[in-house]
Amino acid sequence: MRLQFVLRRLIMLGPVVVGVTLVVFLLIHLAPGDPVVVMLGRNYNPEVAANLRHNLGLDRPLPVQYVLWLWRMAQGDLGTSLHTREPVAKLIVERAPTTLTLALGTMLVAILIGVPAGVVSATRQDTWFDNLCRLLAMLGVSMPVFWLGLLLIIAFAWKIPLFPPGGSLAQYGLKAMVLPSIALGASFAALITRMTRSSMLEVLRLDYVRTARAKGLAEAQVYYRHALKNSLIPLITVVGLQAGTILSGAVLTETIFALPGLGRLLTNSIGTRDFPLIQGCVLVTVLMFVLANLVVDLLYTFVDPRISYS
Amino acid sequence: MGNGPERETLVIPRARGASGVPPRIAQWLRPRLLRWRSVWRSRLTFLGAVTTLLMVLVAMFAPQLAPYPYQEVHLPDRLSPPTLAYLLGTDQFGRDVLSRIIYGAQVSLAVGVTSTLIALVLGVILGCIAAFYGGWTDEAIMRAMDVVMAFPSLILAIALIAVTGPSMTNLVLVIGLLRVPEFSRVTRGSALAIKEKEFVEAGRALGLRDARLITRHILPNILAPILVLATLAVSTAISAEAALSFLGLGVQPPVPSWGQMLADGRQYMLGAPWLATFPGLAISVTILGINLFGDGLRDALDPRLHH
Repeated sequence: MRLQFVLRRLIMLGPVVVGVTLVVFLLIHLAPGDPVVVMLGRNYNPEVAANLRHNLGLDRPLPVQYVLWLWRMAQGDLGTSLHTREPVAKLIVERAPTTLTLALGTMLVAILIGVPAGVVSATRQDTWFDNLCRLLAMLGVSMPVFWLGLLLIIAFAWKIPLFPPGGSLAQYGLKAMVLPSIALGASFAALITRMTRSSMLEVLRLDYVRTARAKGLAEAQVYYRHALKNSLIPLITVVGLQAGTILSGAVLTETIFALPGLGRLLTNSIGTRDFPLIQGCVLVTVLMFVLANLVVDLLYTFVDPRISYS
Repeated sequence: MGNGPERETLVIPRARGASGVPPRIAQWLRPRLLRWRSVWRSRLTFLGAVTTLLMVLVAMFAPQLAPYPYQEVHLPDRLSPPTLAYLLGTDQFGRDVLSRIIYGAQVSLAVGVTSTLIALVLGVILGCIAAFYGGWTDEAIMRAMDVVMAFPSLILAIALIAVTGPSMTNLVLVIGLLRVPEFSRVTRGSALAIKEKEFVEAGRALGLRDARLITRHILPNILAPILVLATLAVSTAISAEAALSFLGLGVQPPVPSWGQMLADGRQYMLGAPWLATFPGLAISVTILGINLFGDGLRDALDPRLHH
């Protein structure tokens, strides 16, 4: 049954990947006018333009171009950066660890703040602590990451110089990731707090929790050993769905903290109108998101055996 | 959050004679008024509604409220901290930050509302068609929506605007189009449930045309979740506009936008922190207000929460 589900889920992935790659491929054709002129600017050399058109396969029919492009992508050839003349794949591989570290740091911050806050909020429903947590959670969701990032730099890099205001992993090690992870993790923590609270409140009303209480277990044991485990199942979905938000947020966070990650690579490539690099960054980011969702879906069947995907 | 003390009791019409309202209308009106009363009774929802209304008023009356025109330059007062003449200080060109924030509300709300309307209209049409016709039409529409949803929305927005060029029109279109799948999914889900009801069957038996069945009989019954989604979508759109303007892909200068002001203020962050602080505060307060109002609306309109 599980194997069937895994296979079905993988088959379902096919059309989405085709659709996603088609959109990324067509991106460059959305630009008004000739893509080559868009890439080279108005004062282009006709010879260079003809060469580029041929190299990119733009002199062929669109479906053929797509198949050829897809074939190159499948082999790991994401093209060459127009600006640095380096392979796009190499640039992405160099930057990916920073973005992945940021994503992990963000999740860590979010879970370490969100889960305990959500649990305490649920176990003390409608007390001042609960109300405070809910208001802070709402505030966390509403604050733009780029603003919170700036406030954190002013507070903890300038007024109290605990962390660097920006810079790479190579320069400052993991210290460079603390403020960015908090900035990006705050809204995520807010979401987890809200989700854990509502899920915990739901679980606390179930019969098995009453049974646990009836057999004389201490409240702490009821909360943490019995209720928490089941209320955390939806957390997996939230983490999966928020992978996209984290990847989007990484663009802004990396810009503020001058982190050399994928997001910054994307924004820089926009500044230089480096279309192969834009395409490469978008494609890799989207595939990471699709993969994260796939892992979450598969993980769900293993974590919660009650779920059947028939 | 806990409900506030009960304010005035709404006079809810019960029968003709007492209030002059025919019983059929009273019957229709009563549950709706009760639901809305629960919206206003929650303090946070009320706060959200007031904040949202205030932002709308600020945007509408920006020329009257702003102390200076947003592009007026006061060179001798460049980078002035908050003073009585400039309540929130001035920027690197000596422009009044408060005036620019007030005019920025126009941009934020215009982008938020327009892009949500685009998403709502397209999403509802596609969702209704998918639910009503089913089969291949449904499959084709929903799989296309899956593809759009497979993208982290800001990344796709950045790429699309980078390619098509930054402008207000492109910004609104891109933010709107990226929200279409959410509306179409919610509409489809709700419409599928309503489609099987007897009154739709009766409408079909009476020979009503599909368009009339959808617009007059299905749509009015699925408005609640769409309304909640639309409210929350406005806040997401405002946030997206701010983010894209922050990256230089949104509204172009000299038209002021909160995100763009924040990006400009970044360079003077240490010497003139008010430049980045106040636009950020404006974004946060607006989004918080709309979210609080949207949450309250969901609580009031979601029938599951009433049971």
